[in-house]
Amino acid sequence: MKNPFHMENKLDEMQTQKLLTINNRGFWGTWTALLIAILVQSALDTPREQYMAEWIIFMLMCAYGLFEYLRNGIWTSFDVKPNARTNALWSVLGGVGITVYYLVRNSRQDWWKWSCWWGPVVGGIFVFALIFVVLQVSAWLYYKRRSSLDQENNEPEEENQ
Amino acid sequence: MAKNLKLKAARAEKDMTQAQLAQAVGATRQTINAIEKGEYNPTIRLCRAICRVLGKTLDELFWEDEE
Repeated sequence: MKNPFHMENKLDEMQTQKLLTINNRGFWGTWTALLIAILVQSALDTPREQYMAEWIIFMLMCAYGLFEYLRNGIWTSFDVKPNARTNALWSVLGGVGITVYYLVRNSRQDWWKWSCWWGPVVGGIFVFALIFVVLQVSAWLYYKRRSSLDQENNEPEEENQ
Repeated sequence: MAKNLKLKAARAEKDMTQAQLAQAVGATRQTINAIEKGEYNPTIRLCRAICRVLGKTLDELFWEDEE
């Protein structure tokens, strides 16, 4: 059945490539802006209801990206062989980020007191573990999908001449 | 990417402007200009269309000898 919403691409290949680049920048720009907006509002103790819509849109973008990347056997543009070491590095980054975020949010001007560090550090360790587990599971799914895509037999059939 | 002077010469041989070649292959003038300037790497489909219009082979227009 013909898709009633289908619109024919009237652009040539270079324009199409440029359009995809613009869309890609738009997606990641929006993703980053939403993340910053959520973090700032959350750090300023804004009531959650006020940034719930941003959070839902952000999570939908994350879920869409994760699902489509894995479905197509793509990890990132700069890394095609994720392993425990690189996953641990990203997780440390996430953990440190969350520790700093909680320090700023909870302690403000008292951040230098040791008593203020326990909560953020425990939060950071928990987030590190969470990110690491999610990355490891995603990497396992990625390798599984890659292997299934590589084994697919979809060579064009030879024509009889 | 190096400039594609062979394409430019083949187009001049046929007395075609970039716009005319673009129209013949279903692309825009910017795309043909970018290919000639070496700023865009066309797909094999577009390379073949260009070759057909200019009466050349892929080798003649797009093969680059390694230095």
